[in-house]
Amino acid sequence: MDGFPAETAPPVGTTSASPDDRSAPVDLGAAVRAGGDDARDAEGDEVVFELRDLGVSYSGVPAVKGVTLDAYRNQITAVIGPSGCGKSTLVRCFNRMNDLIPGATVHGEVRYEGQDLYGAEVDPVEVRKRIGMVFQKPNPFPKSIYDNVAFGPRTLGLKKGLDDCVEQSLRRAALWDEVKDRLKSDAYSLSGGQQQRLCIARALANNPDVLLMDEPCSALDPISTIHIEDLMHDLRRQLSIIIVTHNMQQAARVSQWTAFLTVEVADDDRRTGHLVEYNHTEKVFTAPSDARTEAYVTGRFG
Amino acid sequence: MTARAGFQEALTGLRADVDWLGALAEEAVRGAVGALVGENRLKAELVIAGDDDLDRLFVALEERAYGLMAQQAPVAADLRVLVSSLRVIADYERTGDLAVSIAKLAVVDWWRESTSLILLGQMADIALDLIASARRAWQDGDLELAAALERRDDALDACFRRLAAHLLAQDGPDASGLVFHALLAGRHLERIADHAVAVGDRVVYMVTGDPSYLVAEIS
Repeated sequence: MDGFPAETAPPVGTTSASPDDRSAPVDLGAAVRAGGDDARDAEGDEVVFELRDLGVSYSGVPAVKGVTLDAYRNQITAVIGPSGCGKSTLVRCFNRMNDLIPGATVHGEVRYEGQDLYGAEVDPVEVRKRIGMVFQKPNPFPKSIYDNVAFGPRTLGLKKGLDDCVEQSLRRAALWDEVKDRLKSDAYSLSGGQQQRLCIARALANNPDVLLMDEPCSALDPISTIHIEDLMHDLRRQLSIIIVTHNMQQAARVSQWTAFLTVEVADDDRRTGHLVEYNHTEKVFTAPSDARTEAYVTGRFG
Repeated sequence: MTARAGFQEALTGLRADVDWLGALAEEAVRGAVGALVGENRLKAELVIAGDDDLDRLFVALEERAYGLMAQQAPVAADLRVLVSSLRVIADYERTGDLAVSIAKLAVVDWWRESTSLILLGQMADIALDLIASARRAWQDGDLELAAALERRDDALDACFRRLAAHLLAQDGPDASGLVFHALLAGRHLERIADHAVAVGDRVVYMVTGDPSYLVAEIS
């Protein structure tokens, strides 16, 4: 935990759902299907992020408020909701990306591995090293494939073993076989889907514990989307993933937990996002607890 | 305009046609019991021949449900309507098969002993009442009606036990034929009622999403 203060205060508040809340039939199902995905899910009870009454304001205007949830290790947590509900704003709190937005203020609490992510002694650069991010549009640097992946480790001073690091990162991003013979080629020579996997490899080169993905497939064709989804499935064995997606079927396919946010419109027409429901993805897509979630996932609203 | 109006229209249509299958199954049971008690061979043959229509509708509805699943990627309440439809049509199809089995008993010669027929008639009345209630629960999403079916099925089970006790007390040259055929008919009616109760459980799951009703359905 280099670079993080050694706080050990217990988390405050409660979550809207946690593994302890699982009802008997769900546990029974998991036991029956042991050996599949659910066998791994049993390992995902360890909390990585604790959000408590989290809110974000831009120039004093609240964009998101009152979000309380836990995200779990080796699980994929999907954040869904209509446009403007603050999904991207929320996910940027997980690695302090909102610090870079002028006028953005974060309220409430974000604890990562039990430590206050917004504590005075916390180095945001170290945070972003541990908690990588992949954006909607592939954004490779105007450099070679190799240099894109090597960029982070080089910046952090790695010289020995750089080739290995690049190869391993590209392998983990399921891109190695496609690019191993042209590592010096321009990254822009890759297809959109390959560029996005290159960006994932670039994030993985820093060996993060968490990967944040903000609509990573929205600019990709269906085959490239499947590649990224397969990749997420493999990656969650090693790290935790939080994905923002507009594609509800994608959330249903890839995630174990789903958070549904919606927008509240005040009398003065101010729009503020808030968390409506957070639960196992299976529950959200078969029997959601809240009528607003039901309306959204079935496509009757939003 | 309602979002996904075409899909909602298709779901509403499917749900109505599932009930149409229920109506065919209910009529088959009514016809079969009438044939059995009234010794009406023609009525029995109509029930047996009519099962083909029921089977064709069952297959058509199953295909429609698969098509909607493949094309519409349903979730939440929509998903529950579709999977429940698949289970309920199976219950109605099986109800139709059991009605055919009763109709086949109606075309065989055996001693129609009066008390046994009265008890079978009472069982049939309860079974038909349960099917009608299950259909209404399906049509209206009536949770109270759906959840009450299991309790009402107890009366039919009690009636079946009385029939069995009565049959076991019979003797004489025609007793074995009576016991065999009347017990079979009673068993078929008891199973028909179980399918109606299963439809009720499925309605509760469909409306509420409560997984305990999936367990109730098979227990």
